[in-house]
Amino acid sequence: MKGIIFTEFIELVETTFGYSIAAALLDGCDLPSGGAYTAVGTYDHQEVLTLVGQLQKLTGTPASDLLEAYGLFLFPKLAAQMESMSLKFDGAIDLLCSLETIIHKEVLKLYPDAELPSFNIQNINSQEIVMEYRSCRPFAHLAKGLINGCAEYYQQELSVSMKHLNTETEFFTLISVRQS
Amino acid sequence: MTQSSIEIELSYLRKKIGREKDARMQAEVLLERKSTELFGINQRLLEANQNLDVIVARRTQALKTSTKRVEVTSDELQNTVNRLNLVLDIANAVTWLFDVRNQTVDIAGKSQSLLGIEPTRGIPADELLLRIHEDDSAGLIDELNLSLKQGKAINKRCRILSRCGSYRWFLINGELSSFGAKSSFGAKNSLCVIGSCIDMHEQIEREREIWRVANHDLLTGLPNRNHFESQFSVLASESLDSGEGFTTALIDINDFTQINDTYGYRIGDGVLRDFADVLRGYSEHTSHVARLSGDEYIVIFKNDVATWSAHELCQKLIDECATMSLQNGERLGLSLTMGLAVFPKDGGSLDDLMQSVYSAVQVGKQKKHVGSSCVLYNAAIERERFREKDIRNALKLAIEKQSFDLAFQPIMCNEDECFVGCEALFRWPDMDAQWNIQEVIDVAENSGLILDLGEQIIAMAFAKISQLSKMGVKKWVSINVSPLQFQFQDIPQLISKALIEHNVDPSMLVVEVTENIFLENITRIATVLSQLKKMGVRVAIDDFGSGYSSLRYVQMLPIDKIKIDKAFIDDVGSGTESQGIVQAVINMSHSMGYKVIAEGVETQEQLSALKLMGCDYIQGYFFSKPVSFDELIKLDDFNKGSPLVLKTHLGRTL
Repeated sequence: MKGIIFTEFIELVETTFGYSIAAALLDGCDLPSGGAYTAVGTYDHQEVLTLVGQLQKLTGTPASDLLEAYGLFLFPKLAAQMESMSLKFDGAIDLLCSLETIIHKEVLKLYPDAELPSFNIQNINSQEIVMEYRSCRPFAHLAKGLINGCAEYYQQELSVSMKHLNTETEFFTLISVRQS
Repeated sequence: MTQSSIEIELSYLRKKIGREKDARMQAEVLLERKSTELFGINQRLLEANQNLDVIVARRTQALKTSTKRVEVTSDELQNTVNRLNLVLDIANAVTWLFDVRNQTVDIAGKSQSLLGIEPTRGIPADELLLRIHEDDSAGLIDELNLSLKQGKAINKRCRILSRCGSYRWFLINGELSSFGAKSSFGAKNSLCVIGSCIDMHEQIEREREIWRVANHDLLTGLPNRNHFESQFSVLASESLDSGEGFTTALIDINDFTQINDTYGYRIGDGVLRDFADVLRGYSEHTSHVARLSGDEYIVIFKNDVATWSAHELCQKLIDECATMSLQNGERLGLSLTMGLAVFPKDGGSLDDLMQSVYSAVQVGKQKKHVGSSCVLYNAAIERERFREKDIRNALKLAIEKQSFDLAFQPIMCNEDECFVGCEALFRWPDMDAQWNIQEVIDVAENSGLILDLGEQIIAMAFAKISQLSKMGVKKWVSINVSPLQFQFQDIPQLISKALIEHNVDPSMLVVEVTENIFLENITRIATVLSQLKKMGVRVAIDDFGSGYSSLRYVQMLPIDKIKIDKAFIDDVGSGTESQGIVQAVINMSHSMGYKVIAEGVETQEQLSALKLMGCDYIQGYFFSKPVSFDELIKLDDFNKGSPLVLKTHLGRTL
């Protein structure tokens, strides 16, 4: 998993919960990386899960809420990178629909070893889509947070609901997104 | 903020600085690695770029070479096209391409001048077909379909409406191809037929003229034997397919030579042309009419003309010809002998059918003295034909085996009633009892076997003359020589050789010829007979009065004796008209210096009358029937060895 996910997560913890929680978090997790992350590095995604689990213990906030909050926080950083790559979209729905076909393709050009989730889009109409989230990692709530971040970025109101259909081999979630 | 929390934060920040250092070091390592990777990539790109430059240079060179080659090829192609166009112009030809999908035709070459077609691309096939002669278009369409279905090449002669509005002959060749349609219409893999169309008008017209001349009689314009035979094959084949037979009539103009002799060849030719026109008048009933030879014509009636109906039409033709006139208005009246036979009943092949009609004509010919006749081939004729065939086959075998013999009938001098000579008569000891010797001779004459048979008779006769000579019997022996032998054999040479070979006195030989010899080239016959006379051989006219009996010819030919036909002698002594004729012949012969022999004398009355009339020699049963050679030489009077000197009434020694 790319280092930016980790650095931004630590920054979120520092910003939201303060250095003491951040210190307790890193001290409480026996991380292979020791918590020394660089945005351009690649780290085991288990470390995110460990960090989120530990943060849940420290704050009492559910991991799903933490991941959603993290997604909301992360999106503007990713959007900045997106802009640097001259990727522009008409709005949130347009961007979400282009996730698989444009954005992930560009990401793979930069990071050929990146392991990305797949988003198959079912168009219901121009205002509503269903995204099929499939991944080997349980980050559907992170995706929801990113979608919310995307709505904020484009200053649009999106209602997002999820239905988990996980199997033994993969994490599978239907994410309905409706623009109001 | 409490002291402890400040310390916690400080501790955290210190650790964070440490983590940041580690992270920076990680980043620097990553950066270094990425730099190295980028350098490597850059190097590889440079190499690739250089390789690419080399490849581009090589490809550019190859492209230039190809371009050059294409230019050269294009020039050559243009030259080839120019040459092809020149050849097409010289050959008066165009090329064509039939696009099967679009049903259109492209034409290349000077079609405007040749066919008068404009424009030359995308011409609807239907429009072009309208320009092809209606008798040829169906055949061309058939060949086109065969080409499309089976890939067969097209080779068809067609008449096409030309620029000047008349039909001209063209040879259309073509082959199925998937090439060419693309260049024409841009349609890939479109099926098409490509070919040429060559103006062959003059050549085909010449061929047709040659064929016409080769297959038609120039005098009458009717098809000739050659055309008839090929047409017969077609009609016979159709007839066998349909199961419907047809009637064939062979027509012979009776005594046509007399017309030529009497009026000259020009008039004779006119008669033949008029007769051909008369036959053409029956075209609605006939499928073919041809002139086979001089005065011989053949008619094939249509399938739907029944045999009895064909017979009626022949009778009508006979009636029509009986009232024909010459061009100068003089009434001529042609007499015809017609033989009818039905295919395949009377003959399933050309040869068999022709034999049948010829047999029927032969039967008719026997009645020609009573005028025209029309004889339908029948079972009796067929029996006769097979009988003749049997005789012919047996005769051929007998000739090979030389199984013949001679009989001799003595001839008496009227003056002193002494035997002065004899006639050698042909005998066939093994002959079938159902046949008689005269019909055997007729078959031999008709089949040409008389030539070999005649030679054998001459050889046998000479052997006996030689025997007589050696015995000191100086009596003459007469032999019969057929007109056919005079026509096809060198009789003087044959006899001269035999005379030398057998060392025989020529005066012991008398050559008897019938009046039919007058029908041959009389000048040539006169020459041949003169040659015999010069050798010392004597000549007699046999059966005088039974046939042509031309006094003019009798006077012209160098003959010694005239033998009056038995038919006249039979009535001698009975006071009939024949007696007057016999007297006249005797007087006439004597006046020309010829001796007269009466043959077939059987009674005392006949003998007495002939003596009174001054007939020189007598031959007949009254004195002796024909006997074998052994019996002949035993005859009292015959072996006396009396001299064989014949005195003519003019006192000449013969």
